[in-house]
Amino acid sequence: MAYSHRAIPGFRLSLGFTLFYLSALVLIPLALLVAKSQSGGFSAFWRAVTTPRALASLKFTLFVSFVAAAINVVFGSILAWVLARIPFPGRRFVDALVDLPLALPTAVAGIALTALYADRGWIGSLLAPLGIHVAFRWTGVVIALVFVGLPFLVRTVQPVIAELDPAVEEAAATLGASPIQTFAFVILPTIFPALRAGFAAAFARALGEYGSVVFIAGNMPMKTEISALLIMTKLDQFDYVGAASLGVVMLATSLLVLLLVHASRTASERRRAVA
Amino acid sequence: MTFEVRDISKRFGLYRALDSVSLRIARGELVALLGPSGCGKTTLLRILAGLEMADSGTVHFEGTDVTHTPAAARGVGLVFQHYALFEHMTVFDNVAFGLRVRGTPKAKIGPRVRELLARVRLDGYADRAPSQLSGGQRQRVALARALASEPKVMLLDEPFGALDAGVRHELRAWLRRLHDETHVTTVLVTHDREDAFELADRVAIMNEGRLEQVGPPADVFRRPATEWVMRFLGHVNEVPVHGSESSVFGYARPHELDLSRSPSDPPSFGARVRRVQAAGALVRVELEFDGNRSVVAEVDEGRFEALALQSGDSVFVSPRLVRVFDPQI
Amino acid sequence: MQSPDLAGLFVSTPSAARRDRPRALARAALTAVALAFLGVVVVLPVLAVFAKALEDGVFAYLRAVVEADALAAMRLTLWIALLVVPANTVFGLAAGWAIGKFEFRGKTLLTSLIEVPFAVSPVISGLIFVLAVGPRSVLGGRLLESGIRVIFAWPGMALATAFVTFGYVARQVITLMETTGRDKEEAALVLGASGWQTFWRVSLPSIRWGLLYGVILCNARAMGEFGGVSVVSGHVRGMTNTLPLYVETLYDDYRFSASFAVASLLVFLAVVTLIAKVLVERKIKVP
Repeated sequence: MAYSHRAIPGFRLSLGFTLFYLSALVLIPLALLVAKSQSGGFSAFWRAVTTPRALASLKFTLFVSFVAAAINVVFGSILAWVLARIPFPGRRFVDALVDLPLALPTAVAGIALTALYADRGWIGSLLAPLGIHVAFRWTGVVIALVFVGLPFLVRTVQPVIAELDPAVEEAAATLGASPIQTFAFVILPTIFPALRAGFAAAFARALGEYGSVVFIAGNMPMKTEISALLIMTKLDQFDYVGAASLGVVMLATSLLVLLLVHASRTASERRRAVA
Repeated sequence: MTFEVRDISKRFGLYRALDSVSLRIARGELVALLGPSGCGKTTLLRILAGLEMADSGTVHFEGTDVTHTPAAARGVGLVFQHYALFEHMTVFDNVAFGLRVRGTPKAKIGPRVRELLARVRLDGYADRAPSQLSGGQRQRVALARALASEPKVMLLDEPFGALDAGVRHELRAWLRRLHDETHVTTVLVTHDREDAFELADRVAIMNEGRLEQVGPPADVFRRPATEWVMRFLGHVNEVPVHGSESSVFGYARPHELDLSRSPSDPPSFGARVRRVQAAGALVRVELEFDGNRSVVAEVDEGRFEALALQSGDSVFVSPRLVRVFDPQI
Repeated sequence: MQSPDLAGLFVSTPSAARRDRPRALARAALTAVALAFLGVVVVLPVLAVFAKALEDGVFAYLRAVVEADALAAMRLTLWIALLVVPANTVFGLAAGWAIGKFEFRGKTLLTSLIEVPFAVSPVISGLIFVLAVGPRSVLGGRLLESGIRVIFAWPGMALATAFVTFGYVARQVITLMETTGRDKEEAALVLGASGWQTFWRVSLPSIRWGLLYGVILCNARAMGEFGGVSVVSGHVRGMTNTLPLYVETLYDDYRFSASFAVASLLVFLAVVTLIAKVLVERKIKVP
């Protein structure tokens, strides 16, 4: 299209400033990160990323993030369903609570969860006699990640559930479907894309989480050390290349997850449009 | 003093919206740009307003070349199809907007706004919010707002497009009266024939980026320049032309077909009545002839009763007026 | 055989009234599970903060909150928010204007790039500025020579915070500017308004609630930022501690009740944020 003339003014000013701010604050620093990770050549990058400690931290981070996101998918969906479909007194108050993990600083969540799940804490003291220790174990990390990821899942899935057409479910019932069949064949396929997107959002969020995890994790290298903490440690040791390399890997993983979701979403939209 | 576009062309990518369109509008005239959607009428209006720039051609307002003048400086008033009222402002503030941004002294704004609201019969609504108004009322606010700064030209984009049929009738009459009172040069875009015919001094019919015909409504209706124009403006019957090879067909309107029980002079052709619709000022008679050809005739009640037509009857059709167009190149 | 009306499990229809009991039980069970989940995961930790904060009594709580270091942390938190939120708001408005009111190639790419900081770990947000303007970098080295300290001082913390909260306002404004379209701006222009007049009198008011919503979120996130500022701060008590960092400092010093006391301030902030959020959301839903 020819854009020789735009009636509404301010295009160059607004776009110019936007690009400038974006570059200065986001693009250039991120580019420097990548550059630093490669500043010792690809071999230095590779070495930094494949040390046993780094690999252990990546494996651990991926593992706990996945488990937390999975828990959120199961229980978060139930919560989303209840909020969207089942009226009960105080629903609006409960609905507002869902966003609390977004509004609460991660450090506060971190110390609170540690206090709760330490062997002497309210919940920890209930679990300890059963032999379940949460604080300073991977289970504690998972709980912290469930906390931060909760709103991502619920807010992604809730609107989709709210938009479900009751007529479709009634039709299924009149055709003889049991509730479980209706759920499995009618409801689940409809909300599945949202579930997948919510899982990815919660997962990506959990990958990089630091503040809420670092208090409850125990942070034992090779055992319960999240990658974010390892990066911090490397910085303290002035191992900039190592920190940058790990950072690039973490960044790439998060972006990859989100890219996959975006791609599958557009693919399913295209399929639906053709059909 | 005229408002003129000369040889205006405009493309959007590969799509040609306007192809060398020229039109002259006299001061005080109300011209309707009439055509199907996609014909370029709205694009032309926006070029007049200064919201789009033509690829080539010029725009002159009262002798001055305004082709490159920005919208804010052209002195036009534009009423959008969906009114584009400022929802967060009151009716008063909406109408006063143009005066305020141009620095009109505060003392003058109040009286002028109130005068305009009275003229559009919305006095008393000054403090309402647009969301509290009906569609017709919102349209009148949009008009008042555009008129406030005494524009040289008023441009209306499908002014009745968003309204119900009943409101349309009322507002059409009202708009014509407003124009007669204010004598502001007006260009109106519409796809509705009735809008154009009822309001306009002249109608400019557009199709696929070109002007097909320009003229007073009666002219355009009775003497269409092309087959396309005739079809666009109303029902068209293809009737055989006698006095030449029988395979030549011409065009006639339903009310231009006379019916009788016997062959007549001027030459007529035989047809059979397929269906009669007698619910209206004119009786619609659907006729078949020559196997599978059909025409629709409109006769007045008196004539119809005299003929006592019924489905299946044989009659003779004689067109009073037959138009033959040069084949389109 | 009449198939039982099972729609009642999911939807309350009149014909389901007959079969209500098992459906109602199922719904109650789901509700209980959901509330229990939310209660354990979200509510309990918040209650724990207050319980622990008051463990040593109310006076200890109050003293912890008005200590010099605590006040300094509050000031620094506010100062950084005061820098970061307006900056990101101006950016959000500029981005919203460019993306919402114009067509140009690369628009989708630009919108995606603005989303990138959301996917970046806070620790990395701090790391990149250590690399970019830290003492070992070219730019940082030169600034240090002129006596300007960026990393291990508040400017670096502001940068990291700005990165982390980068798109909060932009997200809202872009969506709003796109959905409100161009009509009103064009109307204002034809009425004689200049670009700035159009922006201030027409565009900005029409998006004000969404803008406020974004600002509220941006502010909450900025004040609560921890990972990024932790990397970039020097952990110097009274100088480079924001409230969240101060909470950590107290905790590491085994001053648990004081740590929770200060944390409780941040909980209040979160609650106020949530309330403001709910109020603004309601305004947005009523156009």
